[in-house]
Amino acid sequence: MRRAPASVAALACLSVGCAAAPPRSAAAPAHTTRSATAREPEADATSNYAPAPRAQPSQERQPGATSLDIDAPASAPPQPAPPPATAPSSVGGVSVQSLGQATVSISESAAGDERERVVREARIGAQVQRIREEQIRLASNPGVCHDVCFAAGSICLAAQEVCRLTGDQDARCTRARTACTDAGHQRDGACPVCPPTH
Amino acid sequence: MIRRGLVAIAVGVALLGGCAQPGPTRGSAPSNEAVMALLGTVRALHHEADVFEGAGEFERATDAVRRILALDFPRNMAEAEDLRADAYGRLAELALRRAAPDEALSLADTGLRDTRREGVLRGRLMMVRGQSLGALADRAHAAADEPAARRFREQAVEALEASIALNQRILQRLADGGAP
Repeated sequence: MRRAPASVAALACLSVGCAAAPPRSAAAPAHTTRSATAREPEADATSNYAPAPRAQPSQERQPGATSLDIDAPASAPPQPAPPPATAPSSVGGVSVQSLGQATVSISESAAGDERERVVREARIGAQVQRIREEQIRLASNPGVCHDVCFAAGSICLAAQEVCRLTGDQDARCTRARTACTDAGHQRDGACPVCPPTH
Repeated sequence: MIRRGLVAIAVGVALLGGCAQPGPTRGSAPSNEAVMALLGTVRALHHEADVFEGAGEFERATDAVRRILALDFPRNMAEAEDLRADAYGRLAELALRRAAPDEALSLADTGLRDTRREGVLRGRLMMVRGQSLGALADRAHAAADEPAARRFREQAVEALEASIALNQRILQRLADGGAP
């Protein structure tokens, strides 16, 4: 019977401990939520974008949902690698939703920048390719521009002399001038810069 | 002073060019070294002519270009025809600048007879021929010889149109990726 009071005391301690436990365990998520809430404006301030409206339904998702689930539509351009799936699940549902909103807004702006960058780089790449091809063509046939420029110049010189001899109204002058104009276009197309004569 | 300096440079270049002249025998295949030496000589003589022509000394410029035609080109040197055609064309142009259209016409005709290849240098010879005939037409007109003036004028325009047609063919050939 002496053991009974001791058992009662032990049970009372245990029950007190069990009664104290819920407030402690409830406090932990509250603390986590505050820190997650504090992080949300940080992310928005960094990206200068308001949280995306389509992030709202994601709050109804299961707490275990990761940022990969939220952010990865099938047609979206390649995104940076998502964080490990274990990290959000250890944080809790509310914090994952908040982080998800921030991630969506950042990833949308990043996707727009990425598309612009890809288009810009493609244009520059095409120009560089054209320049390289032209350099190869000129390097493989260095005499071409000399002859193109010489022939075009000779045509225009001859046209000038024809017009001097026949008069500007003569049909042969008109034909010669047309030949000069055409030769100039051909020269400009093939050799924008003529090599020196000597 | 500047002119004397330029002349001195030109003479020096010409002498250097003369020293490089190898004198390969006719009929034998010229070595690359011999071809390069000949090309260097021709280039030096053209530079000399440039200097004299720039100074208005057309006679001395003509002498320099005539020395190109006096070079002993090997018979099977591929560049020889072009070098001679270029020299004849320049001589004819210099003759025109010296107001000697008869001589210019003669030089252009000689160059055309000497040149087979349908290139820009042949086109230039045809054009100088047309310019020479045009100058002869002007001279006939000034002498009140209208029939001769008309005849020369017609021949001049024909030569110039032939030159235009040749250069158009060359441009087309080059545009199609053909050899110059």
